[in-house]
Amino acid sequence: MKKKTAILASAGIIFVSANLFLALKDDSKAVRSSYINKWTAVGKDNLTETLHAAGVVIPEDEHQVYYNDDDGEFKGFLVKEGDKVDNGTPLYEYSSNNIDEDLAKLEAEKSQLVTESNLIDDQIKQLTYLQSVSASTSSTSTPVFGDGSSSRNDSNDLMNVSIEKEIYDKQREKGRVEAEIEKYEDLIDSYEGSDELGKNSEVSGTVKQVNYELKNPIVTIISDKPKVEGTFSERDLKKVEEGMKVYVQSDLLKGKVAGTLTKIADYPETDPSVKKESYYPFEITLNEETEEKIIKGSHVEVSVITDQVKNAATIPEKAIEKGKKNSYIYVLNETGEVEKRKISKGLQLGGKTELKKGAKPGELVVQKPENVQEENNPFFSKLNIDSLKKKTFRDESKRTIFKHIMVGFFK
Amino acid sequence: MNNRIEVLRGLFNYNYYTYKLRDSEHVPGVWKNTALLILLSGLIFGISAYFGIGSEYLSKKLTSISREEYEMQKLLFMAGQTVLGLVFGAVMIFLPSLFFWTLSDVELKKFLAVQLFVLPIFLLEKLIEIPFALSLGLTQVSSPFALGTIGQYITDNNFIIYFLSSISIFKGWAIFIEYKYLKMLTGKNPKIVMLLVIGLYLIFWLFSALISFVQFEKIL
Repeated sequence: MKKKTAILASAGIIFVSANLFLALKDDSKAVRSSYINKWTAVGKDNLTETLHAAGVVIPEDEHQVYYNDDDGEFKGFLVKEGDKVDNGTPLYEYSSNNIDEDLAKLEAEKSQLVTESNLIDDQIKQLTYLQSVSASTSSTSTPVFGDGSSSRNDSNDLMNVSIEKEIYDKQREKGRVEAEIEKYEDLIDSYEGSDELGKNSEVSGTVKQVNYELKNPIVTIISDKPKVEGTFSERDLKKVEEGMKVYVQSDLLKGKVAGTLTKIADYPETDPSVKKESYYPFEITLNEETEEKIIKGSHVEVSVITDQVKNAATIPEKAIEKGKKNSYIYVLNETGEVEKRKISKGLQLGGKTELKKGAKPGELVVQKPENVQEENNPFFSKLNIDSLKKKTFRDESKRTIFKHIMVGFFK
Repeated sequence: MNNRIEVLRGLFNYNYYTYKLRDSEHVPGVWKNTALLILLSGLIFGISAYFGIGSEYLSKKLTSISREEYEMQKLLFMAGQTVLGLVFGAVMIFLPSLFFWTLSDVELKKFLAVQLFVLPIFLLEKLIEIPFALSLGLTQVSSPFALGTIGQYITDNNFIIYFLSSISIFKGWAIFIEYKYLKMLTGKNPKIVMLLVIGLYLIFWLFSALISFVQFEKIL
């Protein structure tokens, strides 16, 4: 009896092994259904390959204001740190030493001219007097010469003419001097009341620093416009180039702020060394509309968009079976079979892979290729209770439901 | 516990149990065990269907209907299979019993008791096929215990394949048990008993092959 059992058991084992061999060998004729529980539709996505880096928000420009002792005596600051300034806002005031000197010089020159003008007045007066005297003598007592008549008259006329010319010249000189005086008065007037001079801001922004010890630069103004600065590692460097679109993110910001990578330094920030990796500074200009939201000094996460594909057919990377030469996916097709398809991959990003060829968006792809028993064979799946909806039952007629149960019964 | 039906003992220790069954006047617990085994049959068919085994015909609908609808159809398939399990259990207990009962003058209860040893073999087969289906994709038609795999190598005729796939080691075991008990119970010529038993199961297999062959989802 035991022998019989042993023979039967051996026969059974051989039978089962033979069956397994026949069913599982390559190109087996036996149908092998795949137990597939997870599949995914080929997606349609915009894939963007990004490179992440750390950055910090800084003002785009820093404007320094210098003060020179020669300009004059410093009077005081008109702004304090943190103040907003516009183009033209006075920053500090000083009184000019030179101007006082200039003024004194002008006053002296003016008074000299006034004296000169008075002198000319006196001379003119004397000349007019001389002229009047000369006229009266010619009428009362005319000197008579030997031949009788005109010689004395002639000399008198000559003198009158020369005096007249003299007066005319003096008047002209006076006019010149007075014009000169007027010019000096204008100059003096122009300095009047402006003995305290102000220095105006040339840019708009915020006062970052005021140096009360009057060490240059005495005022530092930062522009309102922010930019982001950071560094790329050597490895990152080959992926990025100037002009790439950038998104900036931080806890302090709502959403993302767009910008452009404007500058990548050719030379690392510290002296290159064999032992350590080099970091290359970069700059990002942010889009204008976002200026206000961003806080200067905050640390941000920078995502540089290095590659982008729009409306790409995508599948999870895990769904791809990597062969020796090609990659494959398994499509659950409309004939109820698992179809193996060769694909060509595009951009790979965040676990998603762009399908350049192989499947269209909407097609169903097996998520775990290792679950596929054999290509071009049927598949079945476990009941997914979570996907059941009461509504689908209500929408279905009782007859159809009964029909489905009957079909299930006869399987 | 004296004369109670002990299903597993009767199954494995049939030499002892055949005599016991023949000599006992009362066979208590038959109805209870029958009911329990029928329910167990429904449960095992339901579990198998829960994993979707046998629901390949629904797969082609996956691309055309919504996920909710797809799952609903799978649930209805499971319901159908559970009912099938119950019917299968009942048929496998009552039909052979009644068949042999009409051919002999032995109490029906004793035949029912025999079937209580046979049905667990079928249920065990159904249960063992679940891990094979899930891990290796070997569903009923390619079951390693049946002739279906060989059938697929020798013919393309689906009916023959289905028929061969319903002949398995477990079925052989069931026939052997059935034969042993019936031979003892009826005291008939062993050859005739063997012929009757095999004949009965041949009819079952042909019928199940026919059901598998006919694609009811296309008819209904």
